[in-house]
Amino acid sequence: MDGLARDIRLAARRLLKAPAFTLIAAGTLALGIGVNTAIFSVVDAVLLRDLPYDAPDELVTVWLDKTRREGPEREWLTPGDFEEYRSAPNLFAEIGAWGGINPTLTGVGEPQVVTAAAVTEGMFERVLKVEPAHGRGFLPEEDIPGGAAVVVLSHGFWQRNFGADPSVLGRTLSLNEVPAVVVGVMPEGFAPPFVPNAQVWTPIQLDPARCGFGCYTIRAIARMAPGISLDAARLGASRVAGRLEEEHPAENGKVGVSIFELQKDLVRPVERSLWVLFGAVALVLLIACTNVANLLLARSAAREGEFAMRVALGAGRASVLRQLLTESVLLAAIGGAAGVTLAAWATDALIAMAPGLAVPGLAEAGVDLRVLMFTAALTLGSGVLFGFVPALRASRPDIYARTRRGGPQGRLASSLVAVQIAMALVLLVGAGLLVRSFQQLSDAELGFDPEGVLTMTLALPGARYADSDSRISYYESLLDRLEREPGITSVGATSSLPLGGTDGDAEFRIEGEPPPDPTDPNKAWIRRVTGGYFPTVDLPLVAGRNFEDGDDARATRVVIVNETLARRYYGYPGRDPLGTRVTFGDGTDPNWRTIIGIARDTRHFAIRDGTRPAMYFPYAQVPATNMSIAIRTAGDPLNFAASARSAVSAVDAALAASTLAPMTDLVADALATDRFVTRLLSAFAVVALLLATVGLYGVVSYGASRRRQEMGIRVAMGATGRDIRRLVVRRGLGFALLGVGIGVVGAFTITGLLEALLYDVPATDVVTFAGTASVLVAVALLASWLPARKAGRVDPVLVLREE
Amino acid sequence: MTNQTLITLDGVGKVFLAEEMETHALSNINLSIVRGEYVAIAGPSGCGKTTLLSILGLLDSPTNGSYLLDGTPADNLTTGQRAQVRNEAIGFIFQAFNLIGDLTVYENVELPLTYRGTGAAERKERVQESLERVGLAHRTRHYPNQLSGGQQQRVAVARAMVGRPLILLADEPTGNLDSKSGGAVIGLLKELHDDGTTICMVTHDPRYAHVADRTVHMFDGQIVSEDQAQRHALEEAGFEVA
Repeated sequence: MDGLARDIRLAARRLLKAPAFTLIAAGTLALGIGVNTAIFSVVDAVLLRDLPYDAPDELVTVWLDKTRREGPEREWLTPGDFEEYRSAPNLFAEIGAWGGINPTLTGVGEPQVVTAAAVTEGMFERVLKVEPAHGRGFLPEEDIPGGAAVVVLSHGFWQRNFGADPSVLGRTLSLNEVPAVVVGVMPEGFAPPFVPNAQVWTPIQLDPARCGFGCYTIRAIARMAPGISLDAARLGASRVAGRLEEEHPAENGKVGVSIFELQKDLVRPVERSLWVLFGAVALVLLIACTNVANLLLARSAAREGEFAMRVALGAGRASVLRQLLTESVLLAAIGGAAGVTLAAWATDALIAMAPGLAVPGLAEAGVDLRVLMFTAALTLGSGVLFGFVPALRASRPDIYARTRRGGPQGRLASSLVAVQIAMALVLLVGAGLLVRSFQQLSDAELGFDPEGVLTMTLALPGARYADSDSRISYYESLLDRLEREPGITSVGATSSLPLGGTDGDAEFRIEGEPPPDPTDPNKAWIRRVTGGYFPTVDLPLVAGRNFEDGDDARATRVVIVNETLARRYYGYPGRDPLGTRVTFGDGTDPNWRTIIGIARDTRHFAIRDGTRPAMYFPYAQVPATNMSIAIRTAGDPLNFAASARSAVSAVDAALAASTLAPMTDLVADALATDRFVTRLLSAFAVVALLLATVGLYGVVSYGASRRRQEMGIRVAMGATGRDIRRLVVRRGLGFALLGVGIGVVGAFTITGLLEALLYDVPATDVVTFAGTASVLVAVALLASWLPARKAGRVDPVLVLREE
Repeated sequence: MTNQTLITLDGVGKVFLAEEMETHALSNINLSIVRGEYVAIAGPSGCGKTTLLSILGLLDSPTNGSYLLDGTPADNLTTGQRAQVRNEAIGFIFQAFNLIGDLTVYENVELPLTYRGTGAAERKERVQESLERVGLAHRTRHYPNQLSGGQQQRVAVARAMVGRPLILLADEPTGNLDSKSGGAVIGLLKELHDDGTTICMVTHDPRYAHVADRTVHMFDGQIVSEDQAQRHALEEAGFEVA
């Protein structure tokens, strides 16, 4: 113990005596440990930490699997399906359904659209096992069609709007102008796995009789019975799915069921990205450790005399090794402490960098005890990692003889630099690929022009806007009013904005064609739009005409299809769909609709996704309560937000607009994950490049300084300054080329992991590989040139005299 | 001056400036060396022998005076020209051998030829010839630290000779060697001289100075007569000299 204390004292004294070395080495480590701690805090909060529910491993998501119909693996459920899975004996301990809603709340201050979710009775208490903090959850009799309108509030909503008044229970709120009684308040911090920012919850009141197996409107979360494995649950659920296939061949033919662990399903969109980032920062730390190891090698070379003296005085290898490792661990501890400070700031920056990234747990990421333990382990590991090899070399028993003998030096440092460059190249290639991919995504043809367009969403209360005429009238008045505003050039309404995250599909048949196979129906995504929508978002029609004022309920029913639908179901342009008629369901619906136009394809669900068949209905023929308004403006769209709000309340004072934002935000949000990962990986790659450059500079510089005498000899032999510069640069370039070679092989092996994150760029993109390698070689050239220039000015008389 | 004169120093001086103090390392040096001559420069430590050798080897420039090498003024040569002259006209042998540790014996000897752009075949032939001359042709793949001090200095002699320079400049070539190895190196230099090589050797060892055709004595940066040199030597030894 006494020996260790003495070693620590001595190590501290040595570090204090070399402040420049300590500052550079600890700073380098702080950077490496800091970014690792920050990313780990996010990885831990999002991927590693259990969901904040009792026995979270028992929670699963339940989806319909439509892969056999060339559909998604995660399709929403219908009320009919949900009831079947709920009533299946011994399948799940509990299952609950939910759907997102955005009702307009009136009677509490100004009318406001609130984020909300409709859930089945028992979702909180039995599925998630979270009891309300005040009052109760929903009763079975409240969760049936026509059941009492009740509402449960979030803790934050209760605090903000009711000052945490416990007497709120029993009060009546108006949601979409339907009075709903407050029956409960959820505990502080409660964030359900669905709509985590929901402010209120209502009973979902499913009605399988009204919308059985045809409406994919809900999503489900189940709790497996204790001791039941995921495989067993999957097996049981697939038996139910098999039975439903037989009982409802039209709706459920070739439809299976997908069960996933809830946590994995929630983080799925970002899981790979986060692991990639974690890998990237690990490389940054390794590069940082390599730099410090090289510094220590240089330092221990300079201290060889001291070690030789210790050995001569009888010091054992273990004692020299322990002394040096104490120094490196102490150095790492300083770096670690600074790294934690950096990480606290960086974690906040990371969260701030991720707006639009809906990841559970991300907001809770921070430097806590778990993260600190990780950092402590990382620090200790780093200290041993970068300190061990230099310490091992310095403590070699032949140190005394070696210092007297001299001999070739620096091969280890050179190898480390080559490895460092290889790691930097891997990171740079990864970042380069993501940057190119992001560029492709940003440049992708959207099919519409979001620039200069303001969007907002409205939900008309069904009670007051029960009939079509009142809905049509409201939106007509609103659009008229907006259109008259100075600076607004056009307006339009749609039931589903592109990249807005909402849409619904329906099966259809084409007149004159045999009914499609029920298990492989014709499907189209349905959007209701006003005629002004297409020009407002600059979505052109490639054939036919737009909707006109006359396309109302009294006129012939018309529809506009997109190019994908025309191609897939008509073989367009070989066969022209214009003038043909379609209808929905099994073909018994007499409401045939004539195709009057073909609209250009748009990226509707995600920029990465291919376009799906879509149909646009004229709003006047199929009015709805919930619509989004697109407003093309002559300037910054946000400058027109106030006008838009006042237009909404001018037409109906009890209404409020939600999600008022430029349409470019939709595109930005659609790119949020890609932007987040690309920015971070690029930042890490730049840090890695800087560290590797500094490392290379250091080693070349140190090597050149150690070889001053050799340079003097060469000059005496007739070498010119140019010869000397070339010698030094060649040495630096040699490391770099070796590193680039190793790095290219490594990158070829590793970038496959990025494949799922890339869009329209192969993981082995030659341009990226060649560009990155060139950048590294150029940087290596620069890093070698500076010491080379100095070496070229060597004074042979001086250096030979030193000898 | 005849065309037999290889080196002519006329009034050469060298002043070092250190911390605003002028140190006169050399003063008014007048020296001629003819082709084939073996000149020893002797004198106590710090008398300016090595500085003089550096100037002769174009590693350093005089502060004043003129220097003719093979009839050509060496004072106004550019850095590149000086490097070329060093490479082609001068061969260096240092006290500390100054072989490059990372290079093999062969590569060390080859070094001057690489700066001259000599072709590989010729380089090989000349390196081999040089090493044979010093009796180390069998050690081509060894590294300097695998050789004894005497062997290392013989490699240095081979390196100095390989470019067939006009003159060999040797700075205390025996200073780091035991007497046996030192004797061998001096013997080697004598052989080279007997074959016509011009040699200028700095030494403070009177045994080796006498091997030379002529000994130039230096004291306090100046060339002094032999008598003066003996007088200074006696004074340094603590004797009173009338």
